[in-house]
Amino acid sequence: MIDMAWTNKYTDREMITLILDKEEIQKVMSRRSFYIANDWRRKELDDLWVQQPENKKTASYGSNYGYYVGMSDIARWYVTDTTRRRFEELKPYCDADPSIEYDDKNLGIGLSMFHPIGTPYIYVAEDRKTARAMFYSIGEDTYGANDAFWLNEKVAIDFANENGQWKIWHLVVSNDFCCRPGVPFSALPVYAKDGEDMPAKWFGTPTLPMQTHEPAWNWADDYPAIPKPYDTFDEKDSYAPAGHPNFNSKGGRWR
Amino acid sequence: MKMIELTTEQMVQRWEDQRAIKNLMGRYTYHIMLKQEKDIFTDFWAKGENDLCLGLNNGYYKGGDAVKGYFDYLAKGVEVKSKTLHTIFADHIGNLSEQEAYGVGQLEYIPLTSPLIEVAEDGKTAKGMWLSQGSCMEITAGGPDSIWKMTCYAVDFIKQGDDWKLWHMLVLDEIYSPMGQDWSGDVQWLPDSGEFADVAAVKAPEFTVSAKVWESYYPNRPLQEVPRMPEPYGTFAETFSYAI
Repeated sequence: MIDMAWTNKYTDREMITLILDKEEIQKVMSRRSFYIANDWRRKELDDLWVQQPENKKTASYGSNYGYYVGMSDIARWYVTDTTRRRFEELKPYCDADPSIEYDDKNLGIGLSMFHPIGTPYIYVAEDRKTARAMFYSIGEDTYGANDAFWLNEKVAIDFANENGQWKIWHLVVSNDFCCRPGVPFSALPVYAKDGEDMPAKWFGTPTLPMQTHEPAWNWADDYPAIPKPYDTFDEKDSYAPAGHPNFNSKGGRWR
Repeated sequence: MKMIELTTEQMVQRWEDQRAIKNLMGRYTYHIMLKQEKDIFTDFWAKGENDLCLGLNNGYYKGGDAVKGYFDYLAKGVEVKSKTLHTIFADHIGNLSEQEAYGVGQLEYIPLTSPLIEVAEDGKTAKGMWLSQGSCMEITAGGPDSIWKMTCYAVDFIKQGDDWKLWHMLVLDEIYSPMGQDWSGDVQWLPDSGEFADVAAVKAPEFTVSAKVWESYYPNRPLQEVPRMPEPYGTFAETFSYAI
């Protein structure tokens, strides 16, 4: 049934533009899934994330454990620190087989990262300057022999429209569970022991450390919440740190 | 061609094409789920094109006869597995006819996510990629087994009349591993069982071209990049193909 309120509000061109905006937003996130599979981290930040300086300053990447804020902090963790980690993961292969050079061309031996994203829920702001979306991902990270993980996660994003292109601005990857294959999830302790909370370990030390989502209690904290229709961007109602219900802006360290 | 240069009608057509392609792939997955492999070549693949191509992990089937041969093999497999279970479990399902028992014990889910679709500006072809986190309950040479599948699909589509059709397709299993085990560890498959000898006897046709198209995960595997992603393009001659 056609929503007459919608058809009366927009011209035909405005309606189809809005629909195609949502398809383009889906494509950005699909492309991100393929970039993750290729471990194309630098390229992801260059191709899919905001590029305008004022947006780069306020970009953020969040997880259960806090947020990296500002593109330089995001890149430091997502590219530089992770590349260092990849070299650490490469070393045992080189030690076991001297024919494998300790070189960036061999990074990613034993790596598999498939993070399909489904269940798209996308809203474009009335002013078309921003958009918000949520997806669900049932994926895996594998780092070598006997080192694989299922990862079930909500992925929530604010997008900025930069010169007609949708770019990731604030991203939250909210992990609901991380479990080794072949191990019943229900057999895991409610709280991981120190050093065994893999998503925490992988996330390093964010710009703003805080518990954003407590997976032990599943979705009770409802963060990140599903997007709703909106007119114009408001940081307090976003997937940036200020949009978290427990955020306290007093003395923020990242501005 | 930027959106701003398209007419409203062209924008609507672009969206309708993307939806039609998503629906085509959705129907494809339901055909697999409902064990209708016998109809896939006829219903989904382009007709009259002499360069149909299906690429799997270990090679390519090139040309309509070869591609059809693969789906005929899958259909034969469903038939033989159904008959085998029909016999083994005669106490439970012996009262069903062969037609009613077709597909018994076999269930495969390949939900398609992460759609990345580009429709050519000329509207005659399109390219799409998807990721699937799926599963199958399969009847193997060792008997019933349940399997996790992580798969990447990369497809060229061609429009014939008003319908989109499969033209070139890659189906690449990143993970194909028994449930309850760690795919990065020492995976154990069921040993062959004499009871399922008929299942073991159904062999896939030889590839037209054998090749290492994609290696499923193993711990020492070098980093493997997914197929080239679709990019906006004007006409098929201007872009790359998922065929060989």
